[in-house]
Amino acid sequence: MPDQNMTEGIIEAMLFTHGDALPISKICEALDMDKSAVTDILNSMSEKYNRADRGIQLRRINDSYQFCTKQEYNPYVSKIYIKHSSQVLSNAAFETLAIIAYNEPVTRAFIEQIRGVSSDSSVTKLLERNLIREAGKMDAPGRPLLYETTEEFLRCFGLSDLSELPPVDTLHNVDVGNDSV
Amino acid sequence: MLQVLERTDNPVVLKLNNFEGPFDLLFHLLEKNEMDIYDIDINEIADQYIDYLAGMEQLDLDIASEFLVMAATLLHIKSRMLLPEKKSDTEEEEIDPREELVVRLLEYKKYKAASGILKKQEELWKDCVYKVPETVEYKKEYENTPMSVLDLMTTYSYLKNIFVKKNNKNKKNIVSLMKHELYTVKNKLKEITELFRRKNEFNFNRTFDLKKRHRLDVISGLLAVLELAKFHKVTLNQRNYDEDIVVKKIDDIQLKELKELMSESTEE
Repeated sequence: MPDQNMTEGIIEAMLFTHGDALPISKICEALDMDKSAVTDILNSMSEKYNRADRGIQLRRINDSYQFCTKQEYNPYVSKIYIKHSSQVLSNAAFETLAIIAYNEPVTRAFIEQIRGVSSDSSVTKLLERNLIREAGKMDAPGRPLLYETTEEFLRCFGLSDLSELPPVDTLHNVDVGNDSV
Repeated sequence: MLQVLERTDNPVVLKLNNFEGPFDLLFHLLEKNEMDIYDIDINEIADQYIDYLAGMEQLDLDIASEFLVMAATLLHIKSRMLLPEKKSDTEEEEIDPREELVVRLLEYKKYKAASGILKKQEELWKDCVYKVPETVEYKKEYENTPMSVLDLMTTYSYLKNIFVKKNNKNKKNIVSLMKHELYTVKNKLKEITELFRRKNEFNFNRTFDLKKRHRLDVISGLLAVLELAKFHKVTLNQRNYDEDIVVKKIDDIQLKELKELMSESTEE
């Protein structure tokens, strides 16, 4: 079996090649190592990337790992390329997304019950942005569609998995200001 | 989303607020009046809420039905609170008519806070750049299997038999084989659009070279260029008969829009 340094090199090469989020199971398979050992190595790699002299960071998204640039270097990175930033989500879309993320899978009716307004356009927008997806149908009259968040959601919002969302009960104390435009 | 113009003391100055729904508007009113959510002065809030809707009506804004439902709910609660408390014979627990509203308001507030957190998170992470997933083809390793010529022959005839059987079975279902059109104007339009993404002009004969491409391919290409010229998407320039045609983009090309234009012109 390759030593620790070499294993890190191998994993790094694999992550670079794959580009997309690489499931940890694939790394285990390629290295013929068990999941906990690989997780340890990935954690130690992640720590190294976090140092200031590295421009990329290693992110966990559910059970997959992916490289991305560090946000603090964006002022420089953005000089060499144009990122087509997607349209900013509306407040309504953010509310809808929050309701889905905390309760998934949910139906449209559930979202509308909480928000008190029709949320069709928000759901459509979120589907378009690939932040949510259909997650089957509920076993209830009318068989309504269920929605859940996607990996892209975790990626965009800097979460490794849904458990990293702040617990919903603590949210009562957060001050809600009305955004005036 | 509903936009409400709020009148301030100075009638010329208008404040524009975005309210996501009736709950949002209610929260705004509660905050403005510094009212405790657990002890809402329903009388005051209902009046102010309806004033708002009236103000919106004056400004000719459409009022979403959800806002009207909330107005009705508020009035309902108000009337229930005005009525003298009925001394019920059965010792039922008194329910505050405001309770259901408060529960829903709190629930909504929770997710409004969560959406604020998500917004901050997105702001924090939007500057990260990810690599585009690589399409890597991996080599497949084949095992060497020793095989005699006879083995090969039997395998071949076996496979051939299967193939023939399968074909014969499906034969009666096949009426005729249609030849696929390899070069279509539509495809060429797509190709040219992609070309224009990289540069603003190209030489027709160099791009659609008869030596490199099939004749039908070049013809389709020419037809596509002519279509584009017809809809004022490109200009065509040729200095002399023996020189190349320069195709220059003058307008952004949207394939969808082009398709519509083309189908319109054929209908005419």
